[in-house]
Amino acid sequence: MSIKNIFKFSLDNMSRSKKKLAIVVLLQVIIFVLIGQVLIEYNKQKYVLNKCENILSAPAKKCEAIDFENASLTEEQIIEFVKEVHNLDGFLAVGFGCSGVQTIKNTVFEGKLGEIQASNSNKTYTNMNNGLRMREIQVSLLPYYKFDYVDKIDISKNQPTDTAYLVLGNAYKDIPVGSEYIKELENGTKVRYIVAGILEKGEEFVETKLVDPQEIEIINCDYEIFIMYPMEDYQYSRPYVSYAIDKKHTVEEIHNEIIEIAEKYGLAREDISFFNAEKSLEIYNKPMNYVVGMILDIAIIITITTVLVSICIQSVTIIDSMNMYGIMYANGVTRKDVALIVILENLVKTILAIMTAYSFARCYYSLVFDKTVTFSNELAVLNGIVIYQVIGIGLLIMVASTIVPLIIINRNTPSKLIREIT
Amino acid sequence: MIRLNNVTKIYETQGIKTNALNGISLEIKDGEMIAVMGPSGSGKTTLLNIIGCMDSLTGGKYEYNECEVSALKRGQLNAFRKEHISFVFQNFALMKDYTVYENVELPLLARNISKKERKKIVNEKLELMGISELTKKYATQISGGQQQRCAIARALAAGNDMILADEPTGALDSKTGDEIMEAFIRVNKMGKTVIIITHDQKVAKKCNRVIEIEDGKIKVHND
Repeated sequence: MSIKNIFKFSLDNMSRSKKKLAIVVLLQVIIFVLIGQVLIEYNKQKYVLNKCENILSAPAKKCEAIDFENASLTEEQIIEFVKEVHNLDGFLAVGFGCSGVQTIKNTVFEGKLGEIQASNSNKTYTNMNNGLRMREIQVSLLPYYKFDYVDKIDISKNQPTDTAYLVLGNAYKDIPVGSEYIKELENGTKVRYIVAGILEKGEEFVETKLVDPQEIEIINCDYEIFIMYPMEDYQYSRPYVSYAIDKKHTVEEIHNEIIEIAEKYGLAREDISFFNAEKSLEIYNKPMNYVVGMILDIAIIITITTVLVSICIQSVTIIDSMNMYGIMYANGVTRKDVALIVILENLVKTILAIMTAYSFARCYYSLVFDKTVTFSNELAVLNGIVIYQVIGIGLLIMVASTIVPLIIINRNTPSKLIREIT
Repeated sequence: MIRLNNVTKIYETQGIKTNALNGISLEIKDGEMIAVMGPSGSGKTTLLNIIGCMDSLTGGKYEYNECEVSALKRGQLNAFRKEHISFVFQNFALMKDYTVYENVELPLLARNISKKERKKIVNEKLELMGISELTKKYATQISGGQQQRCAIARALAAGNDMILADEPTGALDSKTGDEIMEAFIRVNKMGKTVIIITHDQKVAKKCNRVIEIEDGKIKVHND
């Protein structure tokens, strides 16, 4: 049979069995919805976690965290500890756990700026906006959470001038993520504030992206302050936020100082876990590893989806297909020609399925992300994932849908295929 | 001429062997019209499949004129079938999503006949079978008798010299069955070799020769 005729048959078979085509697309959409939901959660969590860590381990900055979760300290001990660390020349350690909106409110609105508040992690729970009860250690060194307040605060009065600050703050709709503010203090120190991210959900919190530290231009400032806020979900609120951005100290020096102080409070070295900035930087500097890992993860899910879809499709269409091939055999179409017809038919079907699934996926993902936490970066990546997903699923469906009939054709004598129709 | 010499066919399913054909020897001359009869499971359809190169034989020899068909490889068997053999089935085996015209056109597409030539052949065969007014109807929109005529027209369109029919009147009422047999007689008079498998004595009587099979062996040969 000529290629032209093979192509004609492929198109004819597909276009004339509209019911079959509709069932195939419907099955794909149903399974896509089910698996899609899992995919969204899976990729979102994985991506966001990774992204948070990357941001917190911003290059060219000494980025450390102290995790008190393993230490059994009293509230007083924590306060003392933090005070001492805080008062170190050139180092500030803050941000154990998610401080929460309430803390910010207390410190900023009630005039407790710069005051250290701490509580034992075993005692304090904060009800977050989303109703989540969150265990936390509050350490609020919060001069600002909104730029409006910057002018009202005199850092030099509250903090040593050679101390850098991490501000746990929120971007509001009038202060988008990526905004920055440079303030020159009375003593001539320049402080640069950057709203690096907002992950909180709520009416007034509308920002949708995280700033990639690599995209932030390093300018000649004495201090740079990232305004960060942890995710609403507990799992993202690991107490790993701390920035030491004094350029005079090395990471190792800071570690040693912390350990020294910790020991005074009866803490063992093992009680303090440092956020491994270098390791994170390593990951950060090798984005391909992350991309490859992500694609592999997705590939696993795609494979599962594909197997399910293919089984459904084949079980729906196999009898019709076999009848068709039997009739073709009986009328002089060769095995090779039938195979080509099967491949071409599935190829065209796959292109249609990819187009349908992609349109559907775009709508589906936008719908989901509009209603939940969204960041443009994540959305961009997830859009990329959607493309990989639908193309991957489509191609695998094509392979599976093609291979099954070809195996049946190859393993059965023409008489067996003919028997299907007699 | 078709010549079968001591042909055997053994099917093996889950370790159980079944002798479908048990030493069949047979000669069919060109242009003959033969009925093959026998009870269910006697091996009629297996015989038809072997003659039609739809199944391989386990033992013996199958020759067609000077060609030893039983020695042909898979690809060669396909080519042989394409060149010499057409089929008509009890349930018509029409492509339900295609029109009568397109069904008859199928073997011509497989043979890469030009569009113009295809049109000429298809119309000629449809007219011969008396269904030229149904060209645009889908297979599912016409009666059983008309479907079988369409199937015969398709077999004729291929231009092969042998037509194998497996219970061609089995799904039809008596009157329609008679009409179909008349169509086969017309086909036979065109010089085609026709082999019909049937349970129906009336059908068998219209053939030149009747071969009765039982337990995979030829029981009676009636001229």
